[in-house]
Amino acid sequence: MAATTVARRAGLRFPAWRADMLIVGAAALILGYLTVVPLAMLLLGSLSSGSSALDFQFTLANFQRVLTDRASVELLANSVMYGVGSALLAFAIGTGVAWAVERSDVPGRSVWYGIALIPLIVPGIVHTIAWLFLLSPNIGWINAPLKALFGFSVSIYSLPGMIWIEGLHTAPLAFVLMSAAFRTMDPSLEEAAAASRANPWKTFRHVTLPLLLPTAASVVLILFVRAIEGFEVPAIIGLPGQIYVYTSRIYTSLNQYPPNFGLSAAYGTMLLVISVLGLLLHNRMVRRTERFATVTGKAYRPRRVELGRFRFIAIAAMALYAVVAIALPLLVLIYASLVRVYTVPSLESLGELTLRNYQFIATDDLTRRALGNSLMLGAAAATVVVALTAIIAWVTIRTRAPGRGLLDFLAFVPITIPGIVLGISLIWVYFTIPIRIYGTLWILLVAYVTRYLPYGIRSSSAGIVQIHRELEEAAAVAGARWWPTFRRVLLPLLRPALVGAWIYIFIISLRELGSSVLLYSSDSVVLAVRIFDLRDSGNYTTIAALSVFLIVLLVALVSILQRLGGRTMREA
Amino acid sequence: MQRKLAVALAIVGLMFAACGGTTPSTQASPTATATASAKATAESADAVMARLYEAAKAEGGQVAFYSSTNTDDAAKILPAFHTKFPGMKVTHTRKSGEALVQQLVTEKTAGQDLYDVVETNLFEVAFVIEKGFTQKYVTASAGDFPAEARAADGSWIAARFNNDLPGINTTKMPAGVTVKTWKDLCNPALSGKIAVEQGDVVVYSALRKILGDAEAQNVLKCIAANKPSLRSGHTDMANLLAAGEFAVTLSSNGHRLAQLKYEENKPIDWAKTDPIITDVQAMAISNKPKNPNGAKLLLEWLVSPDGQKAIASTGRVPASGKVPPKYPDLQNFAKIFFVSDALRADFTKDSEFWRTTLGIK
Repeated sequence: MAATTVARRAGLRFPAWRADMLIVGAAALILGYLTVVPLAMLLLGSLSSGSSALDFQFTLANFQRVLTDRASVELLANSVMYGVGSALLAFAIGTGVAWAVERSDVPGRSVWYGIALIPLIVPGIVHTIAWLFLLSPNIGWINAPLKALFGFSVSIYSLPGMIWIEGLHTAPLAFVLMSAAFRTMDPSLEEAAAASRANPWKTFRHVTLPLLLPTAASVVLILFVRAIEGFEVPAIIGLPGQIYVYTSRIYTSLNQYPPNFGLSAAYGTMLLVISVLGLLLHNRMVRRTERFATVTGKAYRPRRVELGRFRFIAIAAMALYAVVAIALPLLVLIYASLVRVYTVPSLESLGELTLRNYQFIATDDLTRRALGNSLMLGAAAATVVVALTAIIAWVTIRTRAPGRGLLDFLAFVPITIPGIVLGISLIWVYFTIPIRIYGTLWILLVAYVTRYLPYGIRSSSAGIVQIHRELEEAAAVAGARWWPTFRRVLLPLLRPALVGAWIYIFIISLRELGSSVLLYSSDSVVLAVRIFDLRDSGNYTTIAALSVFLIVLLVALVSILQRLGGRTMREA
Repeated sequence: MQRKLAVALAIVGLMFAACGGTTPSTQASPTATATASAKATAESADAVMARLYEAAKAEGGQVAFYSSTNTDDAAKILPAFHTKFPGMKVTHTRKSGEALVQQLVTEKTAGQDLYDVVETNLFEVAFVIEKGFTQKYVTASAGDFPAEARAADGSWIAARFNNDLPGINTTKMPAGVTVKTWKDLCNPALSGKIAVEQGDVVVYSALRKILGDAEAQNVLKCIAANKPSLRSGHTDMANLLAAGEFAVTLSSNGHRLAQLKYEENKPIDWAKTDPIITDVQAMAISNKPKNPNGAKLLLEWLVSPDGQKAIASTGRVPASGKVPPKYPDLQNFAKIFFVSDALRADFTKDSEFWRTTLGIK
């Protein structure tokens, strides 16, 4: 019956059952290949002592080592502490700034809003390298004067150091999520508190905070999952500091002599389990949050808290955040990019500034290739994801085709797969399937498309839900078949949502490191990996130059694409 | 529910059907293919290179070079190759030894033959040879090289040596403290001022041979008592030494110390140990190179007098006995102790002691 409806609507000539089954079948095959196969291979790889799934030789040795190794408890503890610490720090900073911007009368709110979002553009690897220059024990910009004046320094190569860098980097995400929560909160309870002469702090503590608690918990969980999936800080700070978390352990078990692929798959499985548990808990919490919904369809304009004399403290705190999160990292990178060998700034070093590092990146073949590959991959991944998820979203929302729920599920599953776990999974896939794409751009495209499917499906689904089905029905009545209807009616209406998703996926593809670092070769090197490799060579001043270039490139791209996207949205 | 389950099972089944019934991924033969050129011993190096150049151009003029030579030095060496052979293009993949081996083994296991020539520490190259991922090739200039710098059967040859010397930042050393031997690193005044490269197991293996087991273990234990900063990457560690992050290193690459001292005017020196631990940087050709003639041409050139001079120009120590190093003071003060493949026999045991003593997790 469902199939007949679809076919009637689509105006297809061939028998009804074939239209939706064909699309569902093809989409399921593609999604299965992208999500089920890598996860199955990961599990097989972790349970095998053979070199591929076809050469499967059952063993529990890898899991035995992962679970009983004397360092395993420490690994789990480090991972959890790192995830929780980073999440709480990011949440505290992000929520503080969001509250000031959304709910207080702090002046220059739009400026602060922009400032709070800038760090989102900076790739994790660049942010981490900047803090390496700032907090190196003896030569960091912050530590050198500390050591000279007070005789002590703060070691970046520590768990608190890792938490600081990750927390600061993910604070903008907390800001975005909490801003939305603050903006859409029903202010009537706060107004009632104010009417009862409660001071702002009391109102915040006894009214705002309890109201926000369920949302806050789900935001902290998202931040936790993001932190434990991250690879940049654990690799660049954790490895020299001997502080291992799962992502860095996966990497080192491959980069030891000799490499151990089964062990890395077992570590990958453990990380996947933690990530899935975190997201399941988050989903449960979101469902519970809906029971306490303070956001309804009403157009609220929450009352802003008057800070009075605390305004200056708020401005000072926000300015400090801007200096710490943006100005200092950028300045140290610019300085480091202009010296030959990194030293603490001095009159002598400032007198020897050079553009040599920029010359190197301009003429270096691999860097130029990395730039070309990154742009190409970003565009290809964004296009494939948007095209694929637009069709899948249409099937799941507009049809009653059997298996449509599975499609939605499969397209969303990769949200639980950390980049580095996807990397090791794909290594196992191509150890087994004789498709020779390891080390080529194709495997990176497969990884990026898989990773970013969830963003595409959520954006497309949200877009389709907003379009009334009567427009398609009108087209069908006028005799249009499925594809012309999809192309000429649905796609133009969907364009703003799709363009938004395309821009977002393109930008995050340019920053991807976790899976790329395990899948690239010199032919398929990408920008984030190039920075990572230069670090391996100890070329920190060149890395600084490349980082500055990457920030400039991303800011320029975001500005151009937003303009184009905005125009498209206005036209649409 | 059952219907959904059936669809899911069907999809998973299809996936496995797609994977099954196919041949396993290509596993290279464990026996290396001997392709040593008979002509190589008869022809001069220049004649061999002229012949290989023509053949390499015909096959596309490309070479994929997987090497631990850092990008700065490769940017000086490889242009000399391009000048001599303008029709050739070398793609340099730079990684540390362990990372290079991981990439190469992964590619080979996934059935991809992407590298033509590999060049890194002898330990790692010997592992790649053992896996059957290389072939034998005797270069025309092999006779110019000491026995420690090549395998007689052509499995590998070294174009350069790394002198593993304790590096010193002269401005950061505590007053009255000098470092002349490895034992001097035990001085408690150096506590918190030492750096050790985490992967330098080979230095400990060499020390066992030089000092004897008990003494080498004592030295490593007392260095560990000085709470060294554990680093990853020799160039990185040497650069941080120059920047003043620490006062001394257990073992740095001599050429980088010399570059920092003489070319960057940094307050750097090195301990004049006796003997000088010297790590052999071996090269081998892939068993299935995409560019077989290009691979041989690059190998021939790197060990030829021109290639060796290009290597020497960077400050690195050429392996040929006929080309002197740019900085003779890297190795003119004591006899050389060459790291040999034989040291690999105790690698697991040495690695375990190294890691537990230094607290490497």
